[in-house]
Amino acid sequence: MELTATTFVNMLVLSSMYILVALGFAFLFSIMGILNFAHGVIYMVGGYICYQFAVEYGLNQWISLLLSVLIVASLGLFLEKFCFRPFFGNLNRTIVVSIGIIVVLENTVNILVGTSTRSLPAFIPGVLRVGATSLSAERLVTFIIGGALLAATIWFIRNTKPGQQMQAVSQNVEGAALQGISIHRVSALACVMACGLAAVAGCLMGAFLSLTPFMGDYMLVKALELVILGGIGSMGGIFFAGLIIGSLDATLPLFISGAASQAIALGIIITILLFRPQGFFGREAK
Amino acid sequence: MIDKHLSTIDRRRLVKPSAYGGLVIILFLLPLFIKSPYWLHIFIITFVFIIATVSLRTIVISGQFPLAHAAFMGIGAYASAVISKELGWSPWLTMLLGGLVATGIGVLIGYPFARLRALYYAMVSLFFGVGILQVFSVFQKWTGGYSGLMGIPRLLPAATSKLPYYYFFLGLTTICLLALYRFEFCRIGMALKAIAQSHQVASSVGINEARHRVLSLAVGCFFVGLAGAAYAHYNLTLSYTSFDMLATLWLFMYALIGGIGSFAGPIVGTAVLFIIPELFRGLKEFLPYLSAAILFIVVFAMPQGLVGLPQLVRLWFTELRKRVTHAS
Amino acid sequence: MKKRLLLIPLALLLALSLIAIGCPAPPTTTPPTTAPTTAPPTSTPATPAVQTLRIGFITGLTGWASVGTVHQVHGAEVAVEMLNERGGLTINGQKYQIELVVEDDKSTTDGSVAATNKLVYDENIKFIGGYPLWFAAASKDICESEKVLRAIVWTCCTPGEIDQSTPYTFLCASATLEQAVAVLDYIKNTHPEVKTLACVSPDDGTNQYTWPEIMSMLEARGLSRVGDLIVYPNDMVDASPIAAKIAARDADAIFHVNGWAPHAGGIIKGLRELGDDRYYFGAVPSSAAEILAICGEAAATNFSCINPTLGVADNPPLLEEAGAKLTSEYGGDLNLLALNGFDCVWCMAQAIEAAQSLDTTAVRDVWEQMDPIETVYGTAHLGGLKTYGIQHTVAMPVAIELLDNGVPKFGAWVNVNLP
Repeated sequence: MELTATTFVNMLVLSSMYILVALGFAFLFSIMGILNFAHGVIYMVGGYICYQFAVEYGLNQWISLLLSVLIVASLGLFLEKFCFRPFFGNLNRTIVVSIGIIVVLENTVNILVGTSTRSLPAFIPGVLRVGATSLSAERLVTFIIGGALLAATIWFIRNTKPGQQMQAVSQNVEGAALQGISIHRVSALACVMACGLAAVAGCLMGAFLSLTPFMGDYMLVKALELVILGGIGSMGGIFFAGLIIGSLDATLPLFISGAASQAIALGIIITILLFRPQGFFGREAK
Repeated sequence: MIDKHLSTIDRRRLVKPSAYGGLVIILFLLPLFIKSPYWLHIFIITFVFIIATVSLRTIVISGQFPLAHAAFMGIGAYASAVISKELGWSPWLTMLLGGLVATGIGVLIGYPFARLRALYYAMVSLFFGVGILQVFSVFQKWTGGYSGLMGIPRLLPAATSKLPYYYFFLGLTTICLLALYRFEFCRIGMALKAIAQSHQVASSVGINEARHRVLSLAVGCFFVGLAGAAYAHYNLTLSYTSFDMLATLWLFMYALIGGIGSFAGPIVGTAVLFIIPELFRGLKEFLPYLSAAILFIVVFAMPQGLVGLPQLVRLWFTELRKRVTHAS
Repeated sequence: MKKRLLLIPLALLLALSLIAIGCPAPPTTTPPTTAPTTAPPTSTPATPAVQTLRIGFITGLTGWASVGTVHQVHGAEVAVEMLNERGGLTINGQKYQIELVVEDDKSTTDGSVAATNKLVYDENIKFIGGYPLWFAAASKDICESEKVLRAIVWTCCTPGEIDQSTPYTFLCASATLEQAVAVLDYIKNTHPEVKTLACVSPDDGTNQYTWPEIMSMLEARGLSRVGDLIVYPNDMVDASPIAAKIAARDADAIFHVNGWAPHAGGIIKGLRELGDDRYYFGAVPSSAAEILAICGEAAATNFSCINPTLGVADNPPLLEEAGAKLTSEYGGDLNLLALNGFDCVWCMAQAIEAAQSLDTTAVRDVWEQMDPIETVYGTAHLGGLKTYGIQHTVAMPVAIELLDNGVPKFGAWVNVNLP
């Protein structure tokens, strides 16, 4: 019984973890059509900046998180202007420049601080008992923040003017421009938000898991999986996709050892895609 | 007048093949000047990856994005290695088998998506690429897991140096590239490009989109599987970590940097991104910055990729000359 | 157009400056492969007073594994430094100073093979140390055929990796089996109340080769395993499902073999959160401080891992000296992997000097019979004849480090006897 309760909790927490990490990536890809492979390293940089402030300089951890978000968001502004804007619409070159960013950032962090695996202290220390099982407070925090940010992002896209402008741009760029929407401003705002979301994820995950310069690589693949399964063009889709992938990753290892659990999880996802290639809420099937 | 027109056509038709032919001759004579087995090894690995990237491009020109291309290289490599090791068959035979296995699996994955948007194949192949590595790990008894498969039979058991392998791989690459070149510039290849440009127009002309896309997948996967198998029998050990998502991304990088629009693009890109880092080993932990610098320079300054460099330089000189003449 | 015009000369400038920085300097005089005879007194010029012996070292400076493997280079550099300070090597009257030639394997098998090719064929180096993770196997063919002596820092126990077919390869650090047998002995000696173990390992393909051995070691010490081996994916990020599985396993203690700090740290964190307080014996090569950083103070109790502690009375003086140098030159805490890299160079240098020859076959023959041999962990013996099929393992003492109520503590020194 305890194992079931624990597993259920793990499912929810793991799902919220993946959703939190994929949020920024999905935002840029689904809404703006920018495939930002560098999302993983931005997420990693966010975690390290928070570490720098919280552990090296001794600031309050939540303030460090905010500082990290601000710094990474401005990095996002810089990236958008010089790396994504020139290649807007050109997938090939966006990919190349993203990989370039990945190599530069990963290597820099590795050379500077890469000699030890670090971890951020827990944002909220302590363990809670929840029914038949126990849960660390920081995992609960991750769950809550992940859900809240997802809801906030969806609300932003649907109900605010900038959000609706982003939707317009994603549907038809020329049409949106003809309406007087400044594509550059919208794109910049989207990038800033996406990078800020990545930074939040990095800080929370850095406390929850650990910080290595290459932690972004694994999370990037997970983010891609979530967006594909959820459907390109839909933010709500990543909720269900996150739930499915998180649940599979939390339950299968209990019954099937090691790599087979991952193989089966991916097999299940491929089968879902066979029947519904556009993902859960993706736009336009053929 | 007609004769003059014909002769200009004839001359232009000779430029490209003679350029390639010249390159092959230079590579053939190279070991006379470069005797170090280290450089022979680098060239051999470059040849293998040239086949992989050109076959990648063959799939890309049909409008599809095979995000599991390195995984197919792994499939070909492991199929050939395991069959030749367990059943004792000759590596020459199992190499072809490896290519066929890769083709079979590639078609199996691609066929259900051949009638849908090309984007969906890209998405599924991403998952497949990640998943197939886990499958390799599940069958550890044969594939050896992370630590790898050892004791793969040699391709050329009598060889005492790398030189025979160098010529073998040069020959293999030449044959594969010839095949891929003919494929691209025959009717089927033209049909693929038409599909990539506009599938509605292509269908209106009677081109069966699904069949052509599956065909391009089959061809692309065969050659990358073959390359992987040949690599396995040269390297003698395999680790499936060499065929992960990152490897596929770098295959794309080699092709994109060289210029995915032209046949020579992936060749140039692979050669540059393999050989230049080897020249600069002295940079040690700063070497990745060099690769990043190449990526940034090409993506910002050369929209056609590296193959567009001569044209760009020519334009630059023309501009310079114009400015000089304007100034004077 | 203007931007592109500017970028081409800029690119050329960048390229030229990189060539200036990066292109390797012409190689220094390569040492003769046989010991030089003393020069005849009159006509020919005298041989230089001190020659250079180049020892190669291949490990990850970039790439995902470099977090750990970069320390091995530090250890090797310190070993070379200390050897040169002690006067270098003297072989048949000729003095040698050692130069370490480091190549990056980029955390990939291909990179490791390319680096080996470079050292063996381009730099003509006959002695190579390093080879972390599973990379030793890939270079076996080149090194054995060229008779290059290798002091490797890890083995995955894959058949063919280190056995009768690898006469020129020596294992100079404690790998999976050595660490496992040390921890099992530690359990038997200091925790006799533990009889059943829940066993955990990463799923990296080595378990099929290592666990049959480890099971017979377990049973030989009167211990037993509960249930099957719990395996987790090597790139596991969140340990909670595995922690749940372990917590549900009814055993006296937990025994974790292989893996690295994020794995063990994540699992113990998950276990303690679930209220599981059982002792966690980690045959994991990482420092207690690293695990503490990952799991947090609250979870850091009833835990053991493999790492030496500086300043303990039982420590060999070489360890104190090397440890002090490492921490002062490179900062941070004492790192086991650095000491392993140190040992590769240290053991190989002893063998070369004992053989009084630079011929790798002669050195190998002497090394196989060396008993005892000095390592940074203490006095070691050559072993492994039954386990690996060849007596090429430097079986050295293993230091156990504990986490007790959130504080790293020294556990014990355990001698390794691997038949």
